[in-house]
Amino acid sequence: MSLIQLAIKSLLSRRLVSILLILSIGLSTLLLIGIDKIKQSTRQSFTHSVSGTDLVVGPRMGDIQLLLYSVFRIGNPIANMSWESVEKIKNHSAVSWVIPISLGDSHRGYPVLGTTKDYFKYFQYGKQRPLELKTGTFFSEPFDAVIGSVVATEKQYQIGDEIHLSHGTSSTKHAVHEHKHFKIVGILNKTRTPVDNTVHISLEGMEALHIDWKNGRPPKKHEVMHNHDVLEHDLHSDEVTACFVGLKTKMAIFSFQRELTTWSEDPIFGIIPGITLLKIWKMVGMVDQVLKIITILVLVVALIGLLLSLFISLNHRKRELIIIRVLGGHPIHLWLLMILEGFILSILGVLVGSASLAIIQTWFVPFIENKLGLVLTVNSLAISDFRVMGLIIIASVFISSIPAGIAYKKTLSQGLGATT
Amino acid sequence: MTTSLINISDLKFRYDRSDNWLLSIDNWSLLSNEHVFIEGCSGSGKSSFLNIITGLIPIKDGHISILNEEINKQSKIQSDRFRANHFGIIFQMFNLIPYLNVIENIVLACSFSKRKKERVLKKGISLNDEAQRLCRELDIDHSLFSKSINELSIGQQQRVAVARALIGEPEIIIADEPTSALDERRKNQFLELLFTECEKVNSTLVFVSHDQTLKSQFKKVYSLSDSTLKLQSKSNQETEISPCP
Repeated sequence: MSLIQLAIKSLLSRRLVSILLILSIGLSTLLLIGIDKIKQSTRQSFTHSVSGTDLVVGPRMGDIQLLLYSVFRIGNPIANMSWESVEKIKNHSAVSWVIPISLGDSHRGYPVLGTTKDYFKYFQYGKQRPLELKTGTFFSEPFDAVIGSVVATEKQYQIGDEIHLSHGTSSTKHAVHEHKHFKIVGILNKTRTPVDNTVHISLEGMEALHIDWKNGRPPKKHEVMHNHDVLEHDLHSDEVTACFVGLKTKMAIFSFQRELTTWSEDPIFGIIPGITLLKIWKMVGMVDQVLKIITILVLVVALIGLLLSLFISLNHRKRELIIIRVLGGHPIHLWLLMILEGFILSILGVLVGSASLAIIQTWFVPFIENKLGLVLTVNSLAISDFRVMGLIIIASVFISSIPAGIAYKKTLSQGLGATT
Repeated sequence: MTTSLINISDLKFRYDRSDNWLLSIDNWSLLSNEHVFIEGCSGSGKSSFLNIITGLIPIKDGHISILNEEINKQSKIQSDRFRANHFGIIFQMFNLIPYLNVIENIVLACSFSKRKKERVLKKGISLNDEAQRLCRELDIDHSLFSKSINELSIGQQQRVAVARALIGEPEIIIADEPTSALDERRKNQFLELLFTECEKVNSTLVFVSHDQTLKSQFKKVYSLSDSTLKLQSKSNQETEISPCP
């Protein structure tokens, strides 16, 4: 019988404690790797979500708030900017293109974005990749909708399907714009950005949705307008939530940003997405550190548990260790036996942690994506993750070597008389 | 032909904190295939003597030669290997490992001894087969082979301990107070079994006990008192019973 077999049998004889230790090491592994992965993924997701846009312009409020709702659909806009301002920006000599966007409505939990065709022409994500259609066309009529890939997959929508949009983010029955039917005309390719979770309609469509609403209240029964009634009206928007701006030259970014703050007729301002993102990372950096410390503490607790368990077992196993010694086992065998036990527990713990991570990736990430509107790319295990696992195993083996050393010393001079 | 198996000369031993010699043996030898009984009261140094000849406790003064090997000159690793290869040990409380089953406990003795393993494999059978064969010889029912040690009676555990000591046919069997937990009838049965099995594998038996009722069954009886081993004559064995304090 090899020492490994002996170690496995010894661990099996202390099944409950071994399982608890494996779980605690697994949890530490999951937290250490998982939190780091989610952090990286969130950053990647945020950074990946917009590119080529020099400024995001919106009503004056917090720069982070503007970025969060305009690009990531997180939170709700509390003010709008006027269409005149959009026109003024568009006509500015430094500006190459403008994409006005209007937010605030939703469809079965997915945000609805009202915009112009320029959105599909100029908006870029990742490494300056434009949006592409998987099937269908971009919208051309007020009641056309182009949906993101996640919306299409999860709701199993196809071209030609009719959908109803809801007022605000609520999906309660009375908030649904049930008399306005939108037809899906296009499905976008997967981008792994919030675009995938978005239902895109034209600004006219957005206006049409609310044309019969008065002072933020739904129309009374006799005031309700249907698709065909709406089309007879002027569907031009007076306000939008924000706009993405591309400049002719990057050199103009700061001067144009400064200039925007001087416009007195409409209090708007512009943010540089990359800089605001850095601000977000700086803000969450503290939370990052706290999370890291908590995770390391969880690992320390797990390792102390391992140490305690080995110490307690050492006392119970005094006789067993001496039997091995008397049968010809060298104290190094006993030392190795205990180290092996720590090694096996940590390997199994790390495997449990990795398996849990895979389960979370499969089951939990889609849930987070739906709830937060974030598109998380939790990659499979990377070299750095294996390094973390290796460190956990080394730490466990090191911890095991303490009681193992004591077992070595104790049994070095003990013999037959000590077994009784 | 009998040859000298263990030779001890000028052995002096005491524990670090003690001023008096626990063992002081000028000359003592044991022939191969002998069955000897060593008696002594508690604290007389019986276990220390066994620990010394099995290499568990190193000595500073004296010479011990076993199978022509000066064990007091061996390194710790060498002496552990020597013990694993040439000794079969039966403890006072049988001391089996609770999480191993009967066969695994027996085979464990070969885990640290290449020699014992080779001896078994030379017969053309596996370690498990040999353990099962020994179990059958020792009247351990095959239904117990995969049972946990905790499910066995004291008598069954004792026989498993004997099988573990016998596997690989070691030259020397050490039995340290193996009958202390048994009643009179079982003591005699056990001794008979031990003699038979040792004879089968040509092992030398060193039987240590403070139970003087057993010594009449041995041809040679040594008494450990006043730090030394004294051979008792056959007539002494029957008459002289020195009570332990």
